[in-house]
Order: sequence, then structure tokens, then C-alpha cells
Amino acid sequence: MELTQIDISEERLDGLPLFFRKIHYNTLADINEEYKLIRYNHSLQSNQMSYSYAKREISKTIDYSQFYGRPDDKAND
Amino acid sequence: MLISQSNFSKMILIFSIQYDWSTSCIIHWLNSWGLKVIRINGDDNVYKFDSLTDKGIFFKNTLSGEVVNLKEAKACWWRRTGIKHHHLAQPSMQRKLEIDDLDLTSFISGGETDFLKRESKALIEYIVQDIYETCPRNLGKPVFDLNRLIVLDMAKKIGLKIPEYEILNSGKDLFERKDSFGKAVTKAIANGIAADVKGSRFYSYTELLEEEFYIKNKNYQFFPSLVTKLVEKKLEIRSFYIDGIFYSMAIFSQSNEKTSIDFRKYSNNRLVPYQLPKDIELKIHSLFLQLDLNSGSIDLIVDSRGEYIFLEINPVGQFSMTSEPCNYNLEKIVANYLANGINSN
Repeated sequence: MELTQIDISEERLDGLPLFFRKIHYNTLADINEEYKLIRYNHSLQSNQMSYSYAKREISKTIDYSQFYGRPDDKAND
Repeated sequence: MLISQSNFSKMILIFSIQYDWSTSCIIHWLNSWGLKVIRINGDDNVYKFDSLTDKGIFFKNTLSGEVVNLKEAKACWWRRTGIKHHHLAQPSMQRKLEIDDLDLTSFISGGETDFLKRESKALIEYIVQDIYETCPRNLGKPVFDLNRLIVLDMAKKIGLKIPEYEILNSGKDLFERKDSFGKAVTKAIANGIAADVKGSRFYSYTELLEEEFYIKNKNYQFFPSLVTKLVEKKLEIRSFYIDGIFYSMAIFSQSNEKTSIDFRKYSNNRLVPYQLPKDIELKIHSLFLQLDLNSGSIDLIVDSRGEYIFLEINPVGQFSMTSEPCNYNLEKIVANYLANGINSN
């Protein structure tokens, strides 16, 4: 995911350190989705994520009930 | 590699944090050699303080019920943080302290008059010092941050080249330095921004000062800020040091405009094993001795004239990013050092 940049200068930078003038950020995956991939590992004595790289693809769970109730839904058969 | 039977009676103590992949890799190696490992994470509650007597320092695993004596460790890896207040505090501890009409809650929950935190601090200081001084083998030490400016000055005294820098707090001074200093970058004196706020993660990097910034901000005052003369880079070096041996990697950050100032902004640079010149290794080794550190990672720049410019030491020693692309197998080396005091594969 690309980083978004915030630029701060002049009055808004007044009194702040210069490294505040460019702040980058990216949206995180929903932490609840991440928690589903985290398990306690007794031999490692720690919670363990599913993979070592922070930037990776994770599954998202879908709440199918939000799609029910439409006239053409097979669930209504 | 043979492990002697006597190793089964001793264990290896690791202070780390949850999700630290390098710690987990090292534990895999140690477990495969039949060694017992106690891992205390600074950010979880698995281990809790049990007691401290003349027989040792005892912590209890709240999941298994096992009580371990940290003084029995034959080696200790000071990977991260270590023992914190919550390892000592009871889960049932009251959050308010109201007696008669007096609200004394501030005595136990934050702020200048939190006497519980002071008790924690004193006890933790003692525990950490006792383990560090009596453990037969330490990798790292209970210091997880170094003052960048102090280390730069020490490096300069040893004969390493460092970037020219100044600490300025006014736009006017910054503007006046523009021509004499040439191109400059800003970075944090401490660690910069790395924090999560409302579902986003925020970061700050080393950034080039643009021409128009000098002009637009001439009349403003800043918090004292580190301004460093830009070094024209040929490449960057990230090196992992462990007890006198260097495992170095070259990062070709100049091949991508996104990473030409700070290689952390993008993750697709070319990474190759690298051999530092012996005189540079000797000087950095001397710096580690002065800092009383036996491991850490070092950042250097090779400038356009081939000169080595020292930037900083990170005592935590991020080695996975060097180990994997260069095939150094540092996880096994670190595990071997903890298990046997041997600095090799």
C-alpha cells in the first residue's frame, strides 16, 4: 500500500521539530482481521503472527448476511 | 554440532517482544538443539514476578504455572525492552484509592506521584542489573536506545567520518546556512515518528530540505532540530556486529528516486553481501568496546568519493534484513553464540 504524505510548514510547524514537516502514513488492515491470524505458540512462548512480513496479503472475512434480503437472492428460495 | 549433556540443566533467557520474528527463529534453533528457553516479552503478561530471595529471581509462567529462576540462565539475550511494571503488578490491583474523603488515586495510577511506578522502577533496575552482571554470557545489554549525537561524537573521536550537522531552532539561521551548508536533510535526534493512530500507521523519515522551504519558513521558530549536510551517496551499508565479527550488506538505494534519501521508504532495492575495509571494521569495533556493547547493527554511507561515512548504531541489532538477502544465516549464528559462546555457523 502506498504511503500518503502530510506536509506541515510555516505556522503549523511553528515550535515543532523539523522532522514533523513530512509525515507519512498508511491505513492498516482491520486489527480484528489480524487478530484472527494470531495464535499463542507455547514453544516460542509468544503470540505469533501468521507470517514475518508486515506487508502481506491476509484473508478478509465476509459477512454474507448483508447480502440477504434482495429479490434475486438464492438464499430466499 | 554436538551439544553436551550438561546444557540440559541450564537455560537461555531472552528478553523480547511479541511477534518478534528474529526471536522466534532463534528459539527454533535453540529448541532443536534441546535447550530450554525462557522468553519474557515486554508487551505481554505471560510471565509475572513471583519472588526474589537469596536463591534467585523467580518468575511464574501464568499459562503453565511453572516457576523459573532467571539467575539459572547460562546466557541472556537482551533483544528488547525487558521487564516492565505490568510484570510486577497484580491483575486484580485496584485502580482507585479512596480512603474516607481523600482521593489518593494519583499515588497508584500515573503521573509524577505514582509511587507504585517508582517501586517498579527500582525493583526492575535491580533485577536487570543483577541478571546482567551475574549471567555468564550476555548478548547485547539492557540498553535499547543510544543517543545519536553522543555516538556520532564518539565515532568522530575514533577517526570515523560522520556527516556534518548542526542543531538549529530558527528559520532565519536555517536560511543563513543554506549556501554554506549546501543541500541538507532533516531527521529526528531520537527515533522519529512511528505510531498507530485510529487505524493508520504514521512514520517520519530522513527528508531533503527543499529550496522553497528555506524561504517560506524564514520567520518561524522550530523545536531544536537536527540538520545534516546531505552526503552524496554511492551506496548504503547495513552491517550486523556480533562480538567482533561483521556481517555487512550493501543497499543500492540510489537506483530508485524514492529511496535515494531514505532507503526505508520502499522495499525493492538491490541488496548484496559486502566486505567493509579492515580499518573501518577496526574503528567500529573500537566504538562498540567504548559503548560496552557486543552486538548491534550499524548504518554507513559510501559517498561518491568512496569514503565511509558513519551514521548510527542500533543496539537492538536488526539482522533479519541482512541475514536473508545475503544468506548469512545470522539466526543460527546468534543461537550458537547464546548456546555455546561461539561466533560462527
